[in-house]
Amino acid sequence: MESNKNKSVAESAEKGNQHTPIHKEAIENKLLLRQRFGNSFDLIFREVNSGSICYTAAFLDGMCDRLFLSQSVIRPLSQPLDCAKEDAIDTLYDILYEGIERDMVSTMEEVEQHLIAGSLVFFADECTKSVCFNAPIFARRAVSEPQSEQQEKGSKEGFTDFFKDNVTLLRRRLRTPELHIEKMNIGKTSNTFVCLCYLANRANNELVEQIRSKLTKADPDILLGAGSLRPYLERSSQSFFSGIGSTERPDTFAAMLSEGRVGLIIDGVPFALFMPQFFSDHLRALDDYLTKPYYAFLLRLLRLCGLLIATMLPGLFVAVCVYHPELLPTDVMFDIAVSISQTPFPLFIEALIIHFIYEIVREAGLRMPKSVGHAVSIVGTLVIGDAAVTAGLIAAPMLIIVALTAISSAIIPGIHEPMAILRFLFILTGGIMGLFGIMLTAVAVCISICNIDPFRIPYVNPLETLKKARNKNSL
Amino acid sequence: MKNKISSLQLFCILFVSRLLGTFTYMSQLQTTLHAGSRIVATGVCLIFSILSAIPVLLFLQKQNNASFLNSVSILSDKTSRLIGIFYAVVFLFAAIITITRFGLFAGTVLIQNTGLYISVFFLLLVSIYCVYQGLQPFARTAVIFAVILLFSLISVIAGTIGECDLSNIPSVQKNEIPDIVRQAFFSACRNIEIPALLFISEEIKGKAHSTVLKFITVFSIISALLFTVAGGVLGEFGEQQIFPLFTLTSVAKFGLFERMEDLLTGIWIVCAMLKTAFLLYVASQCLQKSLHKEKTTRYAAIGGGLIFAGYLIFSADIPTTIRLLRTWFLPAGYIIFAVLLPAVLYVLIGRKEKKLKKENST
Repeated sequence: MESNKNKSVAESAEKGNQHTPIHKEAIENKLLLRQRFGNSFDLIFREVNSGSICYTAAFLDGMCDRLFLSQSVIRPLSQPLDCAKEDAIDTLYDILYEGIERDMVSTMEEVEQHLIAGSLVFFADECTKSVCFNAPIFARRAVSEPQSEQQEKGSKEGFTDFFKDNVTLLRRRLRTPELHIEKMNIGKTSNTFVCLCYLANRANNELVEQIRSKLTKADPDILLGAGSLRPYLERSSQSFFSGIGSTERPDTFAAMLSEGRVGLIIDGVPFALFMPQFFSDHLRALDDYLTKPYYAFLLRLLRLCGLLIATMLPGLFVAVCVYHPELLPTDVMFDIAVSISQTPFPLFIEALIIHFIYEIVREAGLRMPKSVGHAVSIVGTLVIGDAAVTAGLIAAPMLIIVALTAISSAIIPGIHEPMAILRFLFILTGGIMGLFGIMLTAVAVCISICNIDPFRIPYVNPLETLKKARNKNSL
Repeated sequence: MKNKISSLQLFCILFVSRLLGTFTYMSQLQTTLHAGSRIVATGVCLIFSILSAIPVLLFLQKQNNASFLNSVSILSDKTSRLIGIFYAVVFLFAAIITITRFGLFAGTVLIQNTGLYISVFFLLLVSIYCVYQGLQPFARTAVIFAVILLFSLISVIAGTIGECDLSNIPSVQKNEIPDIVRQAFFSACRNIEIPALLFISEEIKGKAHSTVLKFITVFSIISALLFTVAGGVLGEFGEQQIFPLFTLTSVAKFGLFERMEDLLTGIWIVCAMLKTAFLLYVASQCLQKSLHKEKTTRYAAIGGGLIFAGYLIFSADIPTTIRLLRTWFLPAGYIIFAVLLPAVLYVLIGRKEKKLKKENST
């Protein structure tokens, strides 16, 4: 009989992806769970007797609030229950309803999901259902200031890693029943919670349906970051720029939803995605709406100039100095020529080397422990900056260009990656073909940007319409 | 169904494409007109342009922006195919002439020391990439660069207006009226963009007529303004220059910065690229719709190769090329494929449709 039981359990375990009904015998359910979770030490079983009825409770240690559950669930069961064995689970479900969230489930897959979500699960003999008491508790980060998006006058709250906290932050800003938040599980192994958020009276129904459909079809194995979902949502990954934006700020996210866009909150990720994203979004910040329009216009112009400087200035500098020095004022031209003549490398190679080093320093600054941050700053500033120029390896004008580029790229941190790639591209084409190469590359990049239409809305919208009314919010 | 381009996008494509001809205008080699006569010729050109565009506009109106080759197929499939291939050759030839003229301009004044073949090759590569992406991204890019072009024109005029003296402009009386009319006619016969509309009509939103008329008018005004400023600033000296408008940009000054011609004419490189891409796209569409064998992008690659080969042939013998530009060969060709052929087809298709209607009613 024991071997038959094990066989049936094994068969059930093999059918992991199908709907496995809960067995009438609690011991079989226990064996099945043990088989599914293997030798995991945190899967704990307890027998709880209430009169003549013996319940088997299962939970994952560390995921559920044991103190709360022992007071709200276990203690009341010390009173014997007057019910038949077949009604043991139903009775438990009915009597324990105060102050606790509970679910009735009928398959082992649902039981597993609830266990992983931090529930205490009860089985009983002669019952083909199970009741799950939800009381998740696990260590999580408190709401703090966003690290990547600073605002001078805006809120200091940023998203956290727990999706329910993020949903709360969003609800506080959009206190309307029109804010619909649909929860779904994505990830074959990770089963990550993903919340689809939109304002029903603003978002286009077709857009919502399109995104919902794509999420339903998405089947990544593990969803640990927002980037894992992008390939499923974007039509083409060939472009430098993405039609899907991300933000760490709940206020920015709420603003995007209020414009009719659709957003995603992913459990475990302190960033929310919104789509579609337009090119003009990179020029905007929430602070702009807290200042006078003329200053906001100046700031946006500044960001646009920063974008152009960060992307094109090194390439332009190389092109002008090598092919078109007559463009420079005479005094400046002589000074630059003297500086460049003292370095061993051609200006084109020098530009590539110094920008490559800058990217290394930037990447090191992101990854290294904070304790050695000062050492890297010293290396970057003194060695690369000062010593290299003094030794004559790099010209001082080139260092100024790198510094300007670095500062300008910080104006729009959201598109650092495409700016970095394009910067190298412009240096290459500027060094090979001068302004001719720069202009050809600019056109090719422009065509590539104009080709992006996330969710069938042009990425360059509304700039390409040239209509004042539609561009009021962009510029 | 692909997204259609708006009238603003169409205007910008036509504007950017056509203005290249004005920028790379070769005073010494194309005409014997003096500056004052050239300005008058621009006004006469406006009238000729509108008149020569009438058959195309009538066709667009009649077919209500339907495909031109589909309309021609009512005569016979073979006719439609032949017409498609003929126009594809015409547009490819126009692209070769564009590239050769631009190559001559770039090699003379822009990048004298660099091998032009490499630059033209990369220009064609980018053009093929534009065709690969389709008309919609191309149209959006044209809008963006039209704005930049406008700013560059304003900066050229602003940088030189201080030195403009209208008395420098040679009098109209220095040229005979037939010369002025001839030059105006020659200029009007360079509007290759207008017959090209027949082959992208199904991708245009709304009616194209008003956009075409606006384009012709605005282009003529801007050309006249540029020639006026060039004449007023450069005077007789400008008439000795191969590319007077380029010389005008080299005179423009902004405070400390002078000799900005490389920066300002950088935009003209974009115009050359966009015009080539536009002609290549239209030629690819003609071939694809006529032959139905390959994708548009493959025809674009083949077309790009043919354009490069044509450029190598024409640039190998520049004097012959320039003689060709001064003869009646190009204007005659334009009259045939842009005016006569659309007019004849318009009449023939109209008759055939009436005949079919009669047969159907009986």
